[in-house]
Amino acid sequence: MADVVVEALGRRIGALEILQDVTFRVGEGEFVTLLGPSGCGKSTTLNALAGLDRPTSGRITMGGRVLYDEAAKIFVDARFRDLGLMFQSYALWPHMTVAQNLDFTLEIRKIRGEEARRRIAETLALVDMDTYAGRYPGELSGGQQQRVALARTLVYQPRVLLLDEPLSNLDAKLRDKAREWLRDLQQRTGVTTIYVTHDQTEALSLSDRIIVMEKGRIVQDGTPDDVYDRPVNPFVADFVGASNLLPAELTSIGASDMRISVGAGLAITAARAARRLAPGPITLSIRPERIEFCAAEGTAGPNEFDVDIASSSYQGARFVHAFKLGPHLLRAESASRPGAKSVRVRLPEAALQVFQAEAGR
Amino acid sequence: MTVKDDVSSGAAAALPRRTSRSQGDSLAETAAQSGIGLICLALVAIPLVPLILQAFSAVPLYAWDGSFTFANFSNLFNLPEIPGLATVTLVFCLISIGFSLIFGTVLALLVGRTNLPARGFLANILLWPIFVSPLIIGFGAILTYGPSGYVSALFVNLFGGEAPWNIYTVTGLSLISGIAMVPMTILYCLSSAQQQDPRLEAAARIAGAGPLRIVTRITLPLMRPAIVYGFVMNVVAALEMFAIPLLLGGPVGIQLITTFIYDKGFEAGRPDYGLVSAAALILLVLVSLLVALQHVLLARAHRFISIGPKGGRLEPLDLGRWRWPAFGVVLLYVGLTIGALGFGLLLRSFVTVLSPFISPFEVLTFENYRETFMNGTYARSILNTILLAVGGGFLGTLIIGALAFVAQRSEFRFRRLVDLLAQLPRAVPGLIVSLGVFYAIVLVPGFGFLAGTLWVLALAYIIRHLPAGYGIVAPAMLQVTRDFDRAARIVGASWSQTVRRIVAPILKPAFLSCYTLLVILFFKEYAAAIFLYRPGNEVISMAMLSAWVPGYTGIVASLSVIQIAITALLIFIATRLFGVKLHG
Repeated sequence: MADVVVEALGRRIGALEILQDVTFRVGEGEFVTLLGPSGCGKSTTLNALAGLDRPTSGRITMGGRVLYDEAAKIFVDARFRDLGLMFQSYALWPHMTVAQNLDFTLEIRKIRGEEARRRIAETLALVDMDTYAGRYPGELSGGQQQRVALARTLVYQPRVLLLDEPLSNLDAKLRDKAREWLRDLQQRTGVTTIYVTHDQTEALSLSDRIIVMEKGRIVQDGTPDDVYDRPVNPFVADFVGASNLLPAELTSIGASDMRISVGAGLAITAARAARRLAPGPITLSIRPERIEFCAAEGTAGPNEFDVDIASSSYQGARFVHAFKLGPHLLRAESASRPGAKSVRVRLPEAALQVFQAEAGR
Repeated sequence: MTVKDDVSSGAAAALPRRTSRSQGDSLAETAAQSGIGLICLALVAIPLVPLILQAFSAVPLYAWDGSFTFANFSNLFNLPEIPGLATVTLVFCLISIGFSLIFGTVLALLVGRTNLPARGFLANILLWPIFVSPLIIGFGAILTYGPSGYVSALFVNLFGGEAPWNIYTVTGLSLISGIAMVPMTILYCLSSAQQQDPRLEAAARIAGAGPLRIVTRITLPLMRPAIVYGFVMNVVAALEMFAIPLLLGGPVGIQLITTFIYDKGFEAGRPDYGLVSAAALILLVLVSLLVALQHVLLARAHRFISIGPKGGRLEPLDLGRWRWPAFGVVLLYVGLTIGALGFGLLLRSFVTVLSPFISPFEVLTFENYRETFMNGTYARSILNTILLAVGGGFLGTLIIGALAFVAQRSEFRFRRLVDLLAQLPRAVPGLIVSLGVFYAIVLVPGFGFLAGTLWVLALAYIIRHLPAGYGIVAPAMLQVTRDFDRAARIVGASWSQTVRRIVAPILKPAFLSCYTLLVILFFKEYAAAIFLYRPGNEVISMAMLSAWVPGYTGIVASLSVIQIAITALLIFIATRLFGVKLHG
């Protein structure tokens, strides 16, 4: 087990900056997820950690050992890093049986004989694949291959486990099961794990901490709660659980609340944000599931609006509705089918996130 | 018509006209498909049926009375030279195949998977002999390493004494044949090595494996299907190898099974057709068994197919401090084989005498080329070869396309049989095709008019290379989704419309590749022509052989250079102008 420290990592190809100033730390035994859309640099970061790709600047240390330091011209090749990497495609060697796939990694470490047999049996038992030791990868289903791939990375007890979208090749039902199983396994083995995915559900349910990346930079580093409830910018708000994002104007800031104009004469009150804001153009964010439907009786209270539902769609567990608030089209969720077309919605103060509009965004 | 209408009145009521028309269509379709199927059957039967009948007939086939005998086989095995022949053939196979496999695999790994300097360029050079007839390699070897070859002479001059090698031996001609077979091994291994999933090696690297261990434990085992395939194709090539044993073994009386068949077939006086057919049939059975063996060996190939989506770039393996020594070894191999042979031929074609002791500028001449182009026979052979390659290749592509459509894209009852038949000639050596077609036109009444024409050569060449072309078109056709056909049928297209308007245009690149391959193969083919050649339909290879016998070395060299130059031009046109990929 080891901790991982990444400092000011950069990767450029020609004029293209794929990674810029990526800095984070993963504690011993921690499960950290790199989350972001494709092309955000998460896989490049993982390959740099694995030693498959050489960055162009920065420093990586693992358990106190320097694996990469551009200034000192140090780059340790993948084979000497003692890591486990599970590939998205599993990369099981097709000409070796399940047991041989595991044994090959032990052979390299000169672990032979009884000890090797014991470790292979234990690890295969850990992933519930002990009865498949003599099979070839081509004879296994996707879910079974995934377990074998994980077993292969665990059998030699690497200091850090890297997982590259390991669940993306499984179908939806299997993925849910595999997710729970993976989390359980990581807690039992306690291995430091860095997990790369573009799937926010996986990230939220598995991780101790999530690092959200966008365009080669880290935009937020926090617990799943932090990232979900307190996104630092509209990108995170929208990428981690969809959000309604609407351009608005911050008109005044009070002691505990803020007044916001969303156009068409509509005003909203939001809880005062912890971050520093100045009056002017802002982006207002609210998650669809936080919008409340309330009884349309008497006059509307603060942050309550009478709106017409433009469309509704049934999604199994819930309904998703679209309605117009002033010039903006918003989505809201409800558990039951609303009785009427005209409804009253409330945007709770605590559910509103306010981001200063950035130039160019 | 009325009866039919009554029977299908229920369906016909709604769309009567349409129904009757599509019935007409399907009748024409079946007729067309049956016709194509029959052509396929004929192509395979022409060389094989007369040969097999002749092998079991006591008398020449033209006087055949319908009786069968095993006398030909017992006569064959009672010949005194048979034990020696078998031993020599076996030794020849062992040496040439061993050479080809070892050098081919190592060279393919070096140029395909490592950071060897100039590896792309070297790969192209190493593959070049595949486009050249083994006949030319044989001539080149004699000019270079023969007793009076320029390298031998150079060696004698430098070190004195005698050159320590003699290519007019079983070992010598086996090694030269090995050089001709190496590019084939490289071709199979190269694409296999380069198409591996890069993550399989990355996974081994992460697990801690070094380059040597990755090669021996991951890369090479994953190449096993290609190596097995290469091995079987090498055995087939060695058994079929004819030109080099003829050139190097003939003068000193070394006989392999192919040269034995050739000698017996051309024996002065009355050739013993039965004996020759029996020997040819044994060769045919040997090769067929090997082809079948290869199918069995590769049946469990799923162990070698990567699972999951492909992705990433294959990192070249770092040779470290062995990078430049390895480069030197590859360069030495290229220099001693392709370089030396090509240089010898090129130089010899421009001089009157080839010797390291005489400056080439003193004996520089264009006489060889002048004579080649002025002499009717040689000039005609060049023209004939071009005509055969370009025209015959086109005809062959048309036939292969039609066969593939029937086999892969029709409801024809015997389409599986067509598929099988089209691949069958792979097990028939060129010499046997030649002999079979020869028997067919000589012994079967009514085909005599074909003798000595280019048509009979085109026929033999198409039969010989049917599987090679089919092997390009059929897999490409399999990859085109049948939904295209279904969509066309739904909107009302007939089978031939679907094929001509939908599938064929999509497959244009595959047909171009097939055509290019056939042109190149036809251009270098010699074995399939050997029994069919008469004055008038000579091709370059035959002209070279007949110029070699009286010792017109300069003519042979210039014809070789012309053949190489035209092949290079054809490849240039195909790859640059038509975008055809020749390998990978």
